[in-house]
Amino acid sequence: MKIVVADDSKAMRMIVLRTLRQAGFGGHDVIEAGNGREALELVSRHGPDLILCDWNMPELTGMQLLTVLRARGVSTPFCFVTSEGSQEMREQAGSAGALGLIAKPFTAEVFSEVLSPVVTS
Amino acid sequence: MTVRHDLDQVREDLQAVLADVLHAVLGEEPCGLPGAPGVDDPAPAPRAEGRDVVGGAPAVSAVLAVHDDASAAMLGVRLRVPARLAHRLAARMFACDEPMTDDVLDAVGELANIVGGHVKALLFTRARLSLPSVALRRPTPAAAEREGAPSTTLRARVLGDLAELTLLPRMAGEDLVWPPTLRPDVLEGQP
Repeated sequence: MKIVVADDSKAMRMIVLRTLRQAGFGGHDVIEAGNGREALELVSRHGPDLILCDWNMPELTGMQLLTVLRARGVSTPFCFVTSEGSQEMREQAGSAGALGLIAKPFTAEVFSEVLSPVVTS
Repeated sequence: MTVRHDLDQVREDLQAVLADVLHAVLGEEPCGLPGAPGVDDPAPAPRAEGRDVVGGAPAVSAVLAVHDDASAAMLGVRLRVPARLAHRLAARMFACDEPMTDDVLDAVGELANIVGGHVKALLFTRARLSLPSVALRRPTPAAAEREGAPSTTLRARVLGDLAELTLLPRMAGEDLVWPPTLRPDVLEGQP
């Protein structure tokens, strides 16, 4: 599988990669993006099987990225990984077509629970 | 809504946010309950010109803000951690022994981002969160501080160092970077 991980923090991208491995989802081809616009380009270029994306990012936010992708008919499973996990944001994410929202800080167990339906071990 | 009033009411919740995030990110249980021994204000330490200090040690500061869409009020969120703790934080996040300075700044910014997200969820219904700005030097006081607006400071001791969270009501939000707010029709035109 190809997985795009988009976050403007390099530290957080590394933590997401590590947590994927801890959750039993290691060995996949991971592509990193430092903002939403870069993620949009990488998604267009690589056609990933999953997108893990921060909400607040420069250039293009996670929600804007998701909106553009869905408007273009791209149905790749999309999961927010963000510091803001309010019920309102979870509802916004769901309404926009996201698979789910993982709030930071997270655990491998949460990754496993949310991503198991779309990621192979 | 009066942010100051709300901060007084949720002080224990804010303390728990700081402690929980530090615990989750650093893997160490901090002590920081209000009035607990060892978390009182340290004696003021002399500051080297242009350098920030917290708990008497050189510090790394990250600042962001929450903009309340309903009242247009701005709440500043500032996290300051001693350089030694910032280094340990980055080493843990990047899984290396000697993180680069940029990695240390990135790690502290992300820690502040996580704390800010939880503060936003605790205090606001519809609000926007800025991106964090991080500096090794002492941050320029926010306009609210220059005007003497009351701030709320919480501290937690972890790995022998003191992390400090300050909330700044009436922050002007100058010099902060905000995520873009493009309309859907503009988004459609993205390359």
